[in-house]
Amino acid sequence: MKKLNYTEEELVALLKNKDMVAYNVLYDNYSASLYGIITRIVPAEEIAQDILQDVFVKIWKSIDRYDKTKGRLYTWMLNIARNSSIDYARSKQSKLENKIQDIDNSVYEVNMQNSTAINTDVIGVKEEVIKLKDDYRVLIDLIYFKGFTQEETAKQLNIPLGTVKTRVRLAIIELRKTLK
Amino acid sequence: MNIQEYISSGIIESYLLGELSDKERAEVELMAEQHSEVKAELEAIEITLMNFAAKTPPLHIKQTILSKLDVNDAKVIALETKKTPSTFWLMAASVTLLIGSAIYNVILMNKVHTAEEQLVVLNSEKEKYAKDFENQSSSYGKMAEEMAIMMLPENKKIMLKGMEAAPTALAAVYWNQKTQDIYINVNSLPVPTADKQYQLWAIVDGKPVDAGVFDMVSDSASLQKMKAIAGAQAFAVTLEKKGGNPTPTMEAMYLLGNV
Repeated sequence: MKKLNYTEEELVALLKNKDMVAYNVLYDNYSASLYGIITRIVPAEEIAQDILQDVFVKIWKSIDRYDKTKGRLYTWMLNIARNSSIDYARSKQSKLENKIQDIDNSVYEVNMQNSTAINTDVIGVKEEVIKLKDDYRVLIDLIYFKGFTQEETAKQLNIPLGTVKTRVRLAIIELRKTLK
Repeated sequence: MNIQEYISSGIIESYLLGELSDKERAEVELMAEQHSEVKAELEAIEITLMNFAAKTPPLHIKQTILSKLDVNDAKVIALETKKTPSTFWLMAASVTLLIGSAIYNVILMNKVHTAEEQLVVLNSEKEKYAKDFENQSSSYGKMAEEMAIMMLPENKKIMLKGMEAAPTALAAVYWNQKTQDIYINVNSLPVPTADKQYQLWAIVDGKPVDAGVFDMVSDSASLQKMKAIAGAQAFAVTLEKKGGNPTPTMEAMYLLGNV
């Protein structure tokens, strides 16, 4: 995937001006990343694709509400993608009357489904997270895919917040090495 | 807190995960503005987060999304969109292509620039190696020449051993029996003070004959050509004033060897 070609400020300014070229660049730069998040939470590809569409339409419509002092553009879009996916997963889950799903099981369920699914329509699938140590993988799953804060993660896993922060940093360093 | 500590504190990760308060967030942004290392780290982590779980969606999704947008919102190209949608897409595509190619040009330019820099470095390295090689081959040529002198069958080798002044001193004299040429090869001698020089003497019929002064040379294999003398029975080296003396200072005898 490409790095951003506009600076973030330029891209946001153009998007707020409803600039189509900027929107194309936005899609090209971020769709794979957001789709990756969505498919982690909602593994069914067709539904994940619908959610991706909704997410990008939502971004187009509500870009005016994006405030750069509230964080990075990517963080904002990540939240939209994650919340949309989690909302879908929850509504589906409530239909199935599975009120509370055990976190540990769901983490591995998501990974298992992703790692065994072979879909020739989809290119560039990355399974880097699979290569991480279990300690790191659980954290990344909770924080990145499930949207837990580091504090909530610490409580959930019953480990100190400092440890969570250190492991998150180490996990990202590991990933950086792998992605180089 | 220094920059490295700040970077490894985990605050950048928290920032990108959207977990900071307004105040903390402003602080990270200020740090990123003021310190390029912080900014670079922030961007690197963001790209890592973006990339590690990335999965490219099917190509047709983009078209579906674009067709769902309320293009009336699009201020720039909206008018043309309404009239001829296909032209709009062509334009969008060509603009994208144009931007793509512009970006590619910049990337290529950067690459050319890097390549040029590397070329300069490589050229200077090449020159350095060429020079080294020249030095090596000239010193090799000299060594080969010296080797040839040492190996001549008519050359007699006389070992000069250290006297009391320097018991570990050692040198060899090569004495050509046909031409009477004399060469000295110093193996080990104390370095003299600047106002002194070693002088070689040939002992002919019990009397010392001046064979010339010589300097200490760093290359221990170097042969120095001395004055040609016939009929020597022994050779000796004394330390004399710079330029040498007509007669040897016997107390300052450093080396002696009989033929």
